[in-house]
Amino acid sequence: MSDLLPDPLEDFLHGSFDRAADERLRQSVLEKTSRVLRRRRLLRKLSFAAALAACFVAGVAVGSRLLETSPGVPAPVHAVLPEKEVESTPAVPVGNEAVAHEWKAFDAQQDRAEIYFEAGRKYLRENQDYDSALRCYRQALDFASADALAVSADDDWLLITLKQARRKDNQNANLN
Amino acid sequence: MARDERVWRERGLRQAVLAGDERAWRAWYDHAFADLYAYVLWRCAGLRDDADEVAQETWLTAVRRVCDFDPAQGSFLGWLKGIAAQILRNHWRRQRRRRAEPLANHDPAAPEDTSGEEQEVAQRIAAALTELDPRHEAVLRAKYLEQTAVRDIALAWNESAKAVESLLTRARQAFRVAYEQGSFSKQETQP
Repeated sequence: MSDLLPDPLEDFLHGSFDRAADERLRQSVLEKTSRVLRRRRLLRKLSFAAALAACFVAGVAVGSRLLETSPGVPAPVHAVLPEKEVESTPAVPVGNEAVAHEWKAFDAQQDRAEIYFEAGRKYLRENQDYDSALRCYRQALDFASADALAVSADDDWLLITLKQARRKDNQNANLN
Repeated sequence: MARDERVWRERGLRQAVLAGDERAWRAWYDHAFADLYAYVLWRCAGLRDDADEVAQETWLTAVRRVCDFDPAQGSFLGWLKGIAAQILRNHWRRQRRRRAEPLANHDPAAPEDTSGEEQEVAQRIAAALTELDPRHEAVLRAKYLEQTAVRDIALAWNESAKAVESLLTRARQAFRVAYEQGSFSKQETQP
């Protein structure tokens, strides 16, 4: 069988055409795809902000209820701590176990997540210090393994809310 | 670029793009745009309007599905070409359906439009390429679009030169058959 193809096919295979794309097409497609990325970035920021807002609202709501129903509860001890993005160093009011735990977690070489979890629980139960509890729980989740995101029966409302928000954040990151 | 280096680089870019980093996307885009367009234009037999449409759809699909790209399975450009191949199949399927519909305003007495004939030939060629076995299409593209010598194709594909020559012969035969008997052939469209 002759290997010679009909003319149009030979012309196509052996011919040449300008392969360069129109520059307007290149720019237009780049702009359209970049817009998709910008929307994705905005969605991530919004979902993180929504999760934080939900935590804050839940904390304020439950906290005010606890204060109303618990007579004689001493005023919450708010440790004054400088804000840091990665790690914060706790101040040291004397006799405050939660603060001591937070220091311990800060200095620990091992089991950091567990000690931060414990510090968060103490801030919440013993001091009703929601800001400090939130800080410690966030640190704990940053250091903990993926398994730690599973909600357990021992978790308080604040930790449950944070775990759910963190899991949702991870799912959104994977979907995108 | 060595394979490991490419995998690490593309993993980093993928993570950055998933986080919405436009500079990372731009780096990928600039690196792959020209090669992808050349591939799409070849598969469209030089029809620019079709190639532009397919190229745009390929990039938009890629940016939305970048989480599915696994650098360990192959290069980003290879992944893009896979997306483009699927889009091309759907594109020519739609074109074939449009051709099968009666022409409402067709005037048999009108003078023949030669540019229309050239377009029709190109569409038949593009459809024939879509119907080819992927390996046949790949060897024709390597030889005629990328102008790669047979021995270099053999080296890249880990085959003997004889095997590649034999594959090229079979590919050309399959191309002829697909062109003459394929879904865009004159026998199918003539009343």
